[in-house]
Amino acid sequence: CGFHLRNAIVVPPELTPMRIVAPDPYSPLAESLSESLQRAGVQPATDDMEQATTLQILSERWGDTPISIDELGRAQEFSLRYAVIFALVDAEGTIVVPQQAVELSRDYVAPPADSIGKTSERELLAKELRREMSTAMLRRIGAALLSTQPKADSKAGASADPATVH
Amino acid sequence: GAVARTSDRNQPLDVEATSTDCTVAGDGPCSFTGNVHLTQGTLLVQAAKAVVHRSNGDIRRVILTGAPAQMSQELDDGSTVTGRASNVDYDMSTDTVVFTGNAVIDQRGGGNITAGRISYNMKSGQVQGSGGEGPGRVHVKFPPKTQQGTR
Amino acid sequence: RAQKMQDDFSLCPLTQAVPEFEDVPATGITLGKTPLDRAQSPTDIEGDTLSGTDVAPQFQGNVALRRGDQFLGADRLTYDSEQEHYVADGNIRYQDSSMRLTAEHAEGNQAADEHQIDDLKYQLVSRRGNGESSRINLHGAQGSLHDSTYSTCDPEDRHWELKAKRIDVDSAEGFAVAHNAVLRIGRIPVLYVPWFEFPIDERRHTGLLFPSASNSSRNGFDYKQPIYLNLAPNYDATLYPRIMTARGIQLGGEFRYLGTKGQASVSGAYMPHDDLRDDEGYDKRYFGAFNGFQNLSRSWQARVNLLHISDPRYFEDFNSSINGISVYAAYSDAGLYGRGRHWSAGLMADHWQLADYTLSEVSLAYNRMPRAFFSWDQRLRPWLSAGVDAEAVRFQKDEAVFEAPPPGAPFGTQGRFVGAAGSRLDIKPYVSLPLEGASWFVRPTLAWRYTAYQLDDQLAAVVKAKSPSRSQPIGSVDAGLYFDRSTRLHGQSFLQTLEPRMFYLYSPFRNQDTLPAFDTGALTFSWGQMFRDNRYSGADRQADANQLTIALTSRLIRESDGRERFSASIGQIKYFDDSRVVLPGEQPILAGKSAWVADVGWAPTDRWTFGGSYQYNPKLRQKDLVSVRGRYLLPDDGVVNLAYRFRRDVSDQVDFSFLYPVNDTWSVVGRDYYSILDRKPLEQVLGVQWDSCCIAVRLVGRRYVHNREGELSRGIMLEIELKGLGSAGQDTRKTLRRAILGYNRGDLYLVPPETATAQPSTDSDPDPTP
Repeated sequence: CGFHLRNAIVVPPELTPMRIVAPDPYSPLAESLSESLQRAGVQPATDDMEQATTLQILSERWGDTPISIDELGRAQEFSLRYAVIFALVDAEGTIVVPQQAVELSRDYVAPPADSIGKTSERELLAKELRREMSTAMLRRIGAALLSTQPKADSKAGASADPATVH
Repeated sequence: GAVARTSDRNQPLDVEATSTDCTVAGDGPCSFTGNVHLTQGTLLVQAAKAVVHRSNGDIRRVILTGAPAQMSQELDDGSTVTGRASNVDYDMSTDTVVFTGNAVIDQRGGGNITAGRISYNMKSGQVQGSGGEGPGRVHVKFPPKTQQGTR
Repeated sequence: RAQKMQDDFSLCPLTQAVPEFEDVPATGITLGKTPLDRAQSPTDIEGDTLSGTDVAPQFQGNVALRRGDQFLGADRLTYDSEQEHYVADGNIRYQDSSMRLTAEHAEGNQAADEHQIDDLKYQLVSRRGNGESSRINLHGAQGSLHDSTYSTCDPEDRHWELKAKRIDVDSAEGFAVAHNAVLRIGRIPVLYVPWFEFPIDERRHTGLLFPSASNSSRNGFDYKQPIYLNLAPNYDATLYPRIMTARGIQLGGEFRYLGTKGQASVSGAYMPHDDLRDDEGYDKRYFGAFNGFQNLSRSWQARVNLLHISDPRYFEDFNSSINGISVYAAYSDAGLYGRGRHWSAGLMADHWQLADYTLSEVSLAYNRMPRAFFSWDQRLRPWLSAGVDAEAVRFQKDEAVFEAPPPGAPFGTQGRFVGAAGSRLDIKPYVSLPLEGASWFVRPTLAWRYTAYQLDDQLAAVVKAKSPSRSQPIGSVDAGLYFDRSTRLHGQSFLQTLEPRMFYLYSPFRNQDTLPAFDTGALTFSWGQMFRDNRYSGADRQADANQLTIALTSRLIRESDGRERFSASIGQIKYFDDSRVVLPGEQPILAGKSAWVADVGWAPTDRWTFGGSYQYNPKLRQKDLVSVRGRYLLPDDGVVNLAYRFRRDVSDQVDFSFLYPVNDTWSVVGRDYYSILDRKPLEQVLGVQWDSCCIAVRLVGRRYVHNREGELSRGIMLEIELKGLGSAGQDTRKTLRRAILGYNRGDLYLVPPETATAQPSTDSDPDPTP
């Protein structure tokens, strides 16, 4: 039915080295992104490199909003939501991946009468959402790079060293 | 206003030019053409053509044309006024100089006046400016306080 | 103090009160010039004719004087270059980087940069503020307008206008202060203010300096007059004197400090005597909060968020929306947090205070005083990564353990809850082999969890162990394949993926009945739960497991920009053995199949988004979770949300909300949040908004659960927003923002909570009570 094992994405040479710019220096997202990109064969740009592709993380926001209230008005279900707006611009400034938002959320139950363990659950969900966000962003970059790949599928299967962006 | 140095009047006048056409009699006009350099005391003039009118030995009027014709003269207060225009008419008897044709007068401390036509009285500092024939405007620039030469 | 929502002047006519002068670039003569550059720049004057002397020239005919960012146009101008004094007459046009004005007469001194212009009409360059004045005295970047009017409305339709004896405009600071000002809406004088400060450009947003008034059955007439004290460029304060006719007076306040490497804000409110409740302990009502962070180094940051309320019903009695009452505990935490390339660590403490009188301290989590945590995770080789999560915590709570009455006690004496405390050390080293190719990954992981306790006597008596401990290996294998296929859907090329994934988890049984439950609870069963190595959230329980998760995800990603148009996932866990580790009062998980978990996300166009989650338990043949939500983004900021949510024994609710822009000026907002389980509405909102160039009026009716008895309070909120000046009346935008997700498009990207991010958001709420 047309499905084939995913081919390795060849990262176009003009897209590496790459620099990741994030508004909040303390957010681990930029760190995990640069690690996965390095594993996918993208060299990080050092500070003195002028011309470098830039993965711009424009805004990173969390939301822990009650999504259901009990009859006494107390929150009982929460949705931890994490949204990042990013764009990928190459060294000349042409847009590789247009500015877009990735919105992820995880719901969890926190009944007022038994809220023990909910703080650690929220911290666990936050950790998982961060990991999933970096995968989701890489997936979108990979798909966008796909449109730059030569369309012929004749390429050999998985190339020797597993350079993948998935 | 500052006044042109009166002592220039009785200084010797010497003129260099590529060609001159002068009537010997004391009062006839004398015209000099070609890279004219005219000095009299602190008055310095450069022009393409100069016509000097004299009466009983004194210079009464100098008319300069050039692209542009230039003149500069020291005032009593030691500062110099320089002016240029395509046509300069210096009437010594009234101490008034009329610059016409994108005239510019540089003043002490970096200020200047630019206009189509400027008439400037070296004695009284009286000034008249206008666009001359065309719709031109009169511009005056006053340098900021700090840079102005101290008096 | 960021204004929560920008003033929207988009409905204003393009022509301004004082239109731009053609012969002057709109933003002043030379770009980037400010009043400070004037002293160094030359003064250029031009005119049709010049007379007078070179020292005191007189200009006639379309005269223009220019210096730095200043421009003055006139028919006649005389200038004394000695004193640098000028006098100008005849259709005066003046412009500098902050304002434009037209008048008949002007004079001034360039050296002192002082100017006086009479009978003028003015227009602020940056923000529509305009009006007339009998005289303006300009000095550098400051100017005082005498007998002046101010409004952001167009001169033709003056919806509101401020008339003041004097308005001092400080364009360097972006502020103006009106003295003895009368505010008129239409022609009706509505307010006299002796002293009133307001912003004149976008740079500095003041909080709501405008009084806010509302009326409700609980508070009676509720009037709050914020007073903004601009103490210094980097710290300021706002006081909130407030009178509630049914309850008494209250003084609130907030002090904010903006450092180069951090921020801090202290806020609070005090009410000497509240008539609302006469039971003991509810007379003096107050809350105090401190929020701040300080960046210590490239990787270390200190964060403190303290909140203390005078009594458990404080949020309930002072809330202004359903979200105010949904909070049932006041959480405070303070700590040092560090993060580096492969590690993160922290030393912190947190404390819970009860904010719901129907519950007791027992239901609160333990306070962690202090908690030290460290985690390290590093890819040692492309195929090998290792790490450790370690945590040491001292737990403490005042009411934790139930103590039965002593044996000899008379009949009927009640047992009571007594305090409990204990320390716990939890270490979980792990090693894993992340093998991956372009289309596959296999990630076996072996972890070892060792947890040990030192319990105080009460708790030791309950769990019958002074220092219990448990150590347990955990093995798991996470593997998956990626299949792709390019397809074309209505003209666009998409990447369709098929991602089968399996997760096998094995961990032997260890008896954990003697371990107390400090911060551990059963994790909500969800998609993520199928790939976790523990059924519990904290370290007090590590579930035994012999289970296999099979899951499949398919996505449709548009290749042109990588946007995910559709994603669907389904999965289930197969338990090969019973999982016998439980928390007190729980049943073990029997061998067999878990509930099916299905999630769908579909965004057919940029305006429509749908989402759904479904959990069906085949053993009990019943639905555990059904949640469907749809969102449609109407043109020009409209939005419609519809959501249905059922979770067994927890909630069964429908939530419909919308902001419908009828046309440029009228829009309707509404929400109906109904609980089918309790057969009653939880919040109903219906409102209308009339918007125009410089004034917006919002009338919103609301019914929402406002106290712990579950009673619905009815309230009408009227808000008149004078754009550029502030808004009068209960801040309906704040309540609407919370009620209708997406009311302010920015909301779709959420407001960060304190716990999960490093930096508290800068656009903090001036009124910290939720």
